[in-house]
Amino acid sequence: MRKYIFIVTSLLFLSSYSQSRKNIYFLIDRNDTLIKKQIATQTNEYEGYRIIDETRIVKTSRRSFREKPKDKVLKKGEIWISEGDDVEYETFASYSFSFNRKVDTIISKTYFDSLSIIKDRRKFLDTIKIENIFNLNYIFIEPKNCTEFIMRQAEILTFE
Amino acid sequence: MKVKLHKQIRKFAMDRGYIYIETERWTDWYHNSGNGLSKTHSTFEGLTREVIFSNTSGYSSYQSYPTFEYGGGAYDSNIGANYDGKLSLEERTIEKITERTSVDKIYNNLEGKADCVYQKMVDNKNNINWILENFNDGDTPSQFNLKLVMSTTLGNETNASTIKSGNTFIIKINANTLSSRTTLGLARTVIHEGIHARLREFLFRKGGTVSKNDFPGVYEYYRIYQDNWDHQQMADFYMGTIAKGLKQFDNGQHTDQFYDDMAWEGLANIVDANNRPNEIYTEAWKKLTDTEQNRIKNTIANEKSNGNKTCVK
Repeated sequence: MRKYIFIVTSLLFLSSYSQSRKNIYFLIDRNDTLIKKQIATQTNEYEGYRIIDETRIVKTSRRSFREKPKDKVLKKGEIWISEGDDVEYETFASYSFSFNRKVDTIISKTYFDSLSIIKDRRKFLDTIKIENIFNLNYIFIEPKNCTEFIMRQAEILTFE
Repeated sequence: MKVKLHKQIRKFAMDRGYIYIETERWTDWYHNSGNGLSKTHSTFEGLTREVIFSNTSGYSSYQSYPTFEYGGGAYDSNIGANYDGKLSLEERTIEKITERTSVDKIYNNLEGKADCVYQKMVDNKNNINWILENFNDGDTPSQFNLKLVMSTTLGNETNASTIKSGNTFIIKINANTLSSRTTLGLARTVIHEGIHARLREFLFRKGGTVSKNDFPGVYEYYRIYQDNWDHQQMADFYMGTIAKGLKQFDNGQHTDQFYDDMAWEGLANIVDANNRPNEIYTEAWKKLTDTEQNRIKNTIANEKSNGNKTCVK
């Protein structure tokens, strides 16, 4: 009975997201150091994954630091601008995904076994690269214990 | 068979503070009789006048000479004498103007769909013109330039970025993802990056400091949020600007709610510039209810999947 509830719940979960987009299931390998997981803290509620593509180098930038000269006297109501020119640097390409654990679902091992799940990060990246990454429903799965798994909807992010 | 050739005749008039240029457009008509072309007549196509002002120091020492000169930059022998023994007055004048106009303006090097979207917005009096006005007004109020370029080195998750390099802000649009971008999404990216450039131009306009007396909003956000200040300010106060620009670009084909929702992309979650590589939600996004957040995410996701990806000017 319990397994049945898991499956029904899972199907409802998936049907609400499937719509016209194709589902892609990805098992998070906790031992893969190129999958970065960010967990909510007391000061930052964001949660998500960053999956790194080590086969591509991209450029990103960060703001440099300008130190205030010792002899610079600031007037009242004036702030020293500590950011300077942006500095570009090379890094591995990556894809970011956010999730909301409030809508996580628990699935059984049986149901897990019935899904077509990508278990390798490289295979996952190669798969999404040949699709339109915005036309996919990303469903990430993490082991909870020996018989249960956490299934969560992840949303691919873009930055500007 | 008749053949027509277009030609332009340019006339220069120089004064101490400006250069006046008249351009006549003529079409010369030829008849091809089989033995070559023979000119039959010319037709006048129109006249344009242009005055370029300069406030470059030292310019006032030039002599006044209001007479027109004919023909592609040639000039009267009376003023053709070398002004300083090296360059003619006209050459000096054009050099000064070239120097001045290259100081502070917008350089558009976008390509393909990105260029089409940008040009369409500029031509259709989109509010991008207001957003970028500080870069397009000669050398006042600031000395900053703006360049819009394509980039092949941005990651796939980055639609665009705006970086400051000396006196230039550079908006880089991701060329690798261009084909999968919708035109409305691209318009939003241009507006979003334009606001970054505008806000940061305000921050740096006074040199190394920002004062609450000059730009109280920028001052306050910089004081509170440090390196994340511009995203936070944009999320709090520029959503309406973005939505308005999108509606203008799109000729209002959707509801206001749709454009308001679209404006959120890039402003819900941001990379924490104070603590890389963590990501954070903007304060404005956190104030929304779950229902509102879900509606916005669905709107953006559906537009990415189903929105128009072709730009037609």
